[in-house]
Amino acid sequence: MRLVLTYHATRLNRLTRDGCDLLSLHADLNWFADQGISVLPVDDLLADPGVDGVAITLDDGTRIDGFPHLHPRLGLLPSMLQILRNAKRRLPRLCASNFVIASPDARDVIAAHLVDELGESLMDADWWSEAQASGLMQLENHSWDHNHPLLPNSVQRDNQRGNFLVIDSAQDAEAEIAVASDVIGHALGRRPRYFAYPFGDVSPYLRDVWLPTRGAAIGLHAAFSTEPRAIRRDDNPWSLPRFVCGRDWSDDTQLAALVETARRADQ
Amino acid sequence: MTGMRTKPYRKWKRQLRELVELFLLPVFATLLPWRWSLRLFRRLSRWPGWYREEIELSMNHVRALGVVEDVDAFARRLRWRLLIEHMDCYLVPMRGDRFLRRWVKAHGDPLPESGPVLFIGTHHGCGYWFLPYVKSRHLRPNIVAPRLGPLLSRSSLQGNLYVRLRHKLIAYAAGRPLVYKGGSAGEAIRHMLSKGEVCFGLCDMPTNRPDAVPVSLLGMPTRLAQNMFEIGVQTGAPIYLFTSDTDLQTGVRHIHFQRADSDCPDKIVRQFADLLNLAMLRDTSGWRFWSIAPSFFPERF
Repeated sequence: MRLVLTYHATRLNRLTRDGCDLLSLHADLNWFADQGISVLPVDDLLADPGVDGVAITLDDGTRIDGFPHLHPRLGLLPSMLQILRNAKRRLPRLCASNFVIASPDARDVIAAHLVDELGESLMDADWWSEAQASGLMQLENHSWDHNHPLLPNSVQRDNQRGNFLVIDSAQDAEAEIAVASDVIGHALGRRPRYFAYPFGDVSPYLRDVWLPTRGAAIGLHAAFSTEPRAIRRDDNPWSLPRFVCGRDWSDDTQLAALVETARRADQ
Repeated sequence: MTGMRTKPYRKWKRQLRELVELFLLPVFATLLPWRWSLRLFRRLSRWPGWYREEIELSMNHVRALGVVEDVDAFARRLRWRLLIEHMDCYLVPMRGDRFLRRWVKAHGDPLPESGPVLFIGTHHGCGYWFLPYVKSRHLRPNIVAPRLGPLLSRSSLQGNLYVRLRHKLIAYAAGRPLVYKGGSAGEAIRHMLSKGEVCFGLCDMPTNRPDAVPVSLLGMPTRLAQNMFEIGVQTGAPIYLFTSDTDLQTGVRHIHFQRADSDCPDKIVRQFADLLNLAMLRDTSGWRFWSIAPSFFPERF
């Protein structure tokens, strides 16, 4: 069984298990430790198709991932990093992959739009180095600007925003993925090894043409969608599935069902 | 002979230290603007002598449990927090609405306009500011409290005097006399809620009740009593869970309120434990009970 689970620190409806990914991650990691299920870095999970374990990924790379945060509606919050640090006692191989948006300008625009809802400095990168150095997180590529609908201008050639299926040319792919890897690699001294499609949108051009030919050259080993299932031996490495917290499970019972289904599929 | 001479000296020194820790320094600090006392306490927290017994016990326990990486940094933050907490005891009755508007921020679910309400809080952060805040919302709480503090009750004259004084100041801040736990406290709370009054208790306490609910704190299994939650459910009073904390960078006190999602006491206890977990994950040094951690996690000691 190989499962990849995804969390978003900004899913903060209410400080309950079904309304807050911070709390879900904490509870889920403890559940895995109680059940004796290994939580592994993505590298280790993908290296051996026979391995039995779970990998943790975080999407969008916000400040809440790295530092405690003051939320305007919910008050003081812990960081994802603090949650990982606490769980590391029981899960010694734990290391999450965090998919961050590379463009400082895009992050500024998104943060400015979300300041009332989610608080100050949401998309700062000042936590990146500390998170990477902690050994609890590896920062990975979530594109240059997420082709986010809030941006006035995207690097997409026709300025079409709001989904990633429109990234379907070499020019767009270089601007969205290769440049992002360069910038993140330069900032951290380690090039990203994985890419996560923004919105979970797997562009057939990226999956079948651009990433298989260009991915390895820019340091990428695999790419993740948000297709909700476990990884299979014959999966295309440029479109690996992931479960999304809140959408695919929100409590121990549902998480146990995901694990059980994945184990049955393996047999 | 040397031992006979040093023993009274040490006792005298300890009593003097307690006099400063519990009375002189906190009262002096209330005379300063809050920003200044916050900075003063940060500087003072470097000295390892403050609240030595509680700090040493807490350090030993977090070290044994492995819940913090840097135990010295933990101890310093705990000293900082204790300095603030002891000052707050005097500061809360001395400050009015202007201070409250500037330095106390409430978050989470909106509060009802009138009783009955049962507020249930934790021993994380300093909860004193909850009292004037809810009072300012016309919800004067009846406070359920233990007769004496967990550590001070076994200590000196100063310790006992301080606890008694603290209870009087809390009652003054709440505008109501305290309701003491044990005996008929449960009945008293039930009676008050059924009359439409507001009650308040802190429920992360060690328990040996057979019906206590298994939960985990920072991934360590423990049990929390559900009797207070049961009373709320049985009387039909809305239950509001809350956590509070001081932002040590800005000095702002934050209170997070969350209405109980269920009418099942077990589930509410778990919801309460989730809130406490988030607070403990954010700042482990904020939980006041590390000094009695073996009562919560006996299997780990």
